[in-house]
Amino acid sequence: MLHNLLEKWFFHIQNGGEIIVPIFLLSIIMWTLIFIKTRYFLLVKKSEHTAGHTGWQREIHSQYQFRHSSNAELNRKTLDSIQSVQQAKAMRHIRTIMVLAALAPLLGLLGTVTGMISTFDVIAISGTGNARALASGISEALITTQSGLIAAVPGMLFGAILYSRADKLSKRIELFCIGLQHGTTSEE
Amino acid sequence: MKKYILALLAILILVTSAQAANTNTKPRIDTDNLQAAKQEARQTELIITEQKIAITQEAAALKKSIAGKKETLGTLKTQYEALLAEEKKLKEELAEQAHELKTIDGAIRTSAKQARDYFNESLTTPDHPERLPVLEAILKPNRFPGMESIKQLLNLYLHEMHTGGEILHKTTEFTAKDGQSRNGETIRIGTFTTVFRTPDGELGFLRPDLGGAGLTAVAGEPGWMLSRTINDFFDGKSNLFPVDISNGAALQRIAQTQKSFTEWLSAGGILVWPILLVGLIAALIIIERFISLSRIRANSGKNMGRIIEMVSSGKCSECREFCLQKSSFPTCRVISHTLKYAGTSKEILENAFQEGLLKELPLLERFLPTLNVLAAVAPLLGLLGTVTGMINTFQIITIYGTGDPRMMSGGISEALVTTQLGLAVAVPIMLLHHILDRRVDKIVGDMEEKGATIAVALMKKNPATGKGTVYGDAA
Repeated sequence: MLHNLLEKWFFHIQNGGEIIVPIFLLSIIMWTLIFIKTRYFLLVKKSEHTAGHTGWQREIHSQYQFRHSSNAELNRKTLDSIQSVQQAKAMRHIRTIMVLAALAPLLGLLGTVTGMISTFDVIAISGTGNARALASGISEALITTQSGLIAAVPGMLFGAILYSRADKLSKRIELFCIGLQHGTTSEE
Repeated sequence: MKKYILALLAILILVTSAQAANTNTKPRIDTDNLQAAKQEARQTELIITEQKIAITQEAAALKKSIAGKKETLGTLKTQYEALLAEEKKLKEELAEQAHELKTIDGAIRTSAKQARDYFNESLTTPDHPERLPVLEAILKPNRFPGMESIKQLLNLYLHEMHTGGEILHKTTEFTAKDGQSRNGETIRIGTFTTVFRTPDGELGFLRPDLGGAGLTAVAGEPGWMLSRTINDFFDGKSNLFPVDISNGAALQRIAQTQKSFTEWLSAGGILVWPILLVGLIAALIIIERFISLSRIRANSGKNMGRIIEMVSSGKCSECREFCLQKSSFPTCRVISHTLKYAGTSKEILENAFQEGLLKELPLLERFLPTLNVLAAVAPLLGLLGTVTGMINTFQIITIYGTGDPRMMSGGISEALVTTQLGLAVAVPIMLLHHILDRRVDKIVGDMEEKGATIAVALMKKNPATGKGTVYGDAA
């Protein structure tokens, strides 16, 4: 069953011509990044739910402890720099995912055009009578478009979801840093 | 009839001569002469009657013979008519048979011509050159191809069937792609495919010449996967072989699909050039950016430890020296700029840092917005080409109608090639722009973070600036 499905898929992809290869690579990279990012967020969520300071919170805390001084203004600055590092970490890969998702339909369109060109080449050689030869170009055109869209839609979706997740996380980081600062300044 | 006339003439002559004799003797003698004359007359009469009888006899005989002749004429006439009818019948038969013969002749010639056409395109013919003279003999004009020719034709086809089942590996001469004849190994698989391999490793497919006497290499390369399969087959490593069952049509497609790049470009019309120009500019910018950004190192964590150490131990000038040494890090450049103002107030320090950052930023982000614009422009140009091509197509349709798709394909290929090129240029530009952008972001992030750290370290070191009134104002 699965074997047949794979074989079917393989033939399907083979009909798609050369453009299918970059679409395939692109979607692999995209899905890898989505997986990495989703795992990152899941880990963050898990660590946040456990008691005490874990994950990024501990990281910020330990760095702050290490660099923290008696001067409140300096502390704020230190926290700012720590915060920006953590926020960049939260946002990492997401723009790449979105750019890849935007590229996939473009590549699909490129495949469409390539397929149509080969179709018209066939027409120029053998006229419209040879439907079999025409079909190969048309299937190339359609399969690449399909693959591009298949790659793009979840990429866009996950990109948006992950972006909002990262946005929320960076807001939490900010809040945490403000809270940390308040806590330390009130201690003094 | 003549006979009658002659007889009458003779009678007339006799009569006149008798009268003449009568008239002459009358005056001189009467009685004696009368007697004599009477006798004479009687004699004459006798002769006349005799002759009359003879003549009537003759006439009767003649009449009889005429009747007989008439009879024979009648029989001959009927005979003649019968023969005429027979002749007509035979002629018809002849015409019929000639028609039949012509049909047979035509059929044999047609099939011989078909055979010639077939054998001219068959891959087996160059291996069996004896076929063509046989065919030529059958096709010779003004000669009726007899049973022998039919047998020969049949034998040719049977032989072709036989050779269609063999795989032949040999060394022959053929016409290479450059038009020169060359020697090489060839393998023929039935009547489907012939490949060659020259001693210098060149591979390719062969098709028969126009006349069918030799082999010519097909234009276009077989491609590396096909080449490997063919090489393995030549070396006997595998028994897998590509076969062209379309009788040459697929091999023609090889050359068609490997249309040269310039041919492809020229199909795209004028708008190809601006797109290529965009691509070229983008490529130059990308190369420049990659080179200059690869010189700039982003992460300076290792150096930061030493810098902080030096700053906190008060070795500001030493630290500046160190930063100048590491000037490939833009972060270090910013720090060295900031360190110039070490010991001054916090505000100045901050401003100095910002100044250093602003100095670095344009250097890092140079051309990147341009690249973004180029990535957006390329598909637009492609779209413009599409529209231009479609306009050309519709103009052609208004002139020639839609009857011949070949006429329209020029405009359509222009439309498609520009679109393709526009997208093909835009996609890598977008991707590379994103990569460069991320790298710049990373460097800038690093600079900001490390700059803040160094500012903090400087303030710590110099409590005068940290705790003074200036600080209070800033807060």
